[in-house]
Amino acid sequence: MQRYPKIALRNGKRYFFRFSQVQRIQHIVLFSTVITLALTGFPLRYYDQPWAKPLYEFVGGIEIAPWIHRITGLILLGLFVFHTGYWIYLFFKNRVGRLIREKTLSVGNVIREFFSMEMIPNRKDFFDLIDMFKYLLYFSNRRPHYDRMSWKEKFDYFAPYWGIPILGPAGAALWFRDEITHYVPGIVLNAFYIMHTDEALLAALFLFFVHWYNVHYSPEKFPMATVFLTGYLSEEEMIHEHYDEYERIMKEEGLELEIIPQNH
Amino acid sequence: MASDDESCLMCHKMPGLGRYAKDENQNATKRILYVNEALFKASYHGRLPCKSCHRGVDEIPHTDAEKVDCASDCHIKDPSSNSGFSHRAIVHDLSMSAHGARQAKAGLEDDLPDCKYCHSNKPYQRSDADHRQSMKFLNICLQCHESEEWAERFYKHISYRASIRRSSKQIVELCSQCHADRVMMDNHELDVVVGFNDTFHGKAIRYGDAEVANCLNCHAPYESGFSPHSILSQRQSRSPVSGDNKIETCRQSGCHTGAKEEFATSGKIHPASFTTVQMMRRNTLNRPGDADPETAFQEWVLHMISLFYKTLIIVVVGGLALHQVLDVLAIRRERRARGG
Repeated sequence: MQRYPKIALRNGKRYFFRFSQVQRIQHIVLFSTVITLALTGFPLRYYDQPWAKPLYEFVGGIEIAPWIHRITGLILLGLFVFHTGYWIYLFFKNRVGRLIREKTLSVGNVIREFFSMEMIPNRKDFFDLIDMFKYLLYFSNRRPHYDRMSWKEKFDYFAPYWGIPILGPAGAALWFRDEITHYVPGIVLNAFYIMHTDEALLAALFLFFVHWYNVHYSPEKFPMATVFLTGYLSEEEMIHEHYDEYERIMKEEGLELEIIPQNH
Repeated sequence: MASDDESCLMCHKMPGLGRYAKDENQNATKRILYVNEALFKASYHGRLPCKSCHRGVDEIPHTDAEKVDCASDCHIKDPSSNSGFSHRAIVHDLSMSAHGARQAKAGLEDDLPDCKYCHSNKPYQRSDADHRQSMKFLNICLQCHESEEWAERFYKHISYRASIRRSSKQIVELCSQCHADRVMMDNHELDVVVGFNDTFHGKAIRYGDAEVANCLNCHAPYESGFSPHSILSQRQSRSPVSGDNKIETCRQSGCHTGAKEEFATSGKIHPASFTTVQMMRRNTLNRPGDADPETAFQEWVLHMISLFYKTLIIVVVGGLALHQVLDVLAIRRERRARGG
């Protein structure tokens, strides 16, 4: 039996596999570190706000909070390195491995495989985005049929994946501010300061307004989407959010006759 | 209570003793002439006769009173030289510094701080824990010295100067009284200091860090031979925050000891925020010596980075937040269509 069956049955309902255990653990590490970093960082950016001082005292004050921030930042950087290694490993194991087995290994094929990975944005995402706004603005009656990863989820994914290579080195430079001036002019520190805090603000606002809507505030998810804990998505959610993938998996599992239409 | 040899307290011990005087602008100001003897005795100058500082005052009413001059000779001897003690050297330092009245433009001399602006002849005060500690120490003094009163005063004289009396926060507040006053700084053709609180130094001070640099650590570092009385204008080449001296100031022991020259080339250390600079550019940054094209370019680059992020935040977060709002409406629409 597969480790993660594509469809699991619980109480007579179908649940569709999305995230493996190691992916769910990465997500838990990611959100714990990001929340800690935000709580120990933003009171410094917004020092003149009334909430800043009580919050900063709560997370350790000027003596302790900077160290919590630095160590948590290191953990997040570690996660970034691990995750990059993780997808490169999966890419070689699953995709390059298949090319070797099928004896079709070539530079062109590897590039093609790379761009067909589930997280890489593609043409369909662009048209889905346009279709989604058509639907939201009453120009069409049909939600786009997303595949395994929708453009929204790719946004959610690349927001932190872009952000960390900027936040991490900029933060490290501000940490080792004396030593860094052996290599770069001092003005770079000022630039890093702006980049570190503005990138963090972008990430925090994105997570609060966009990601948390997707998984918490949305009328369909409130109070909380459970996929980050269980790794499985209900059939109703699959139909609503990943209809293309839903159809594909149902066909693969021989359940073609039981496919439910989207606007039932 | 110590005897009042000059009999000043005969009148000045009366609470409520005072009068209204006219200042130069013909405004009436209230002058309190009452002296709280206990407070005065506990103060730094508590052992001095009144007339050490208040010269004249032989007639009643005191029409012959001279203005108090801290540079005059005191009637006490300096034990290190056995000659008359005076604050003359420090008054001289101050007059030669950026805060000396001779630096001011005509008519603006009164804006500059005199001795009393910072020094208020405070009473010696100690927390209970400090007090117990000093009492323990005093027992050592009293092994040889007979007078407990003398030993206590001597001990306080030393220990009060050994510890820092104004917190960094208080120093920033003191300097800001003038240097954050836009009108006053414009009159003196100086930059208003508005950016200090935005620096890591400013933020750490705000959150109670006692180690981090305050105004005096960079503008009057004792390590380089300066004192708060000898602060120089940044435009003077001897100033610790001018040109090549800057990096040595940053590298003071306990600070950025590992920094290279490049560390101190990042333009202004506590710049005004870009919008403030734009607003003030006409007034304060167009003076000769400030129109440095390299600094202006650096400021422009920083501004562009900041603008890039502002735009990105508005477009990405704003656009997707709009999407979410429309999504709520769409879900309600679907639920209505399903009749649920």
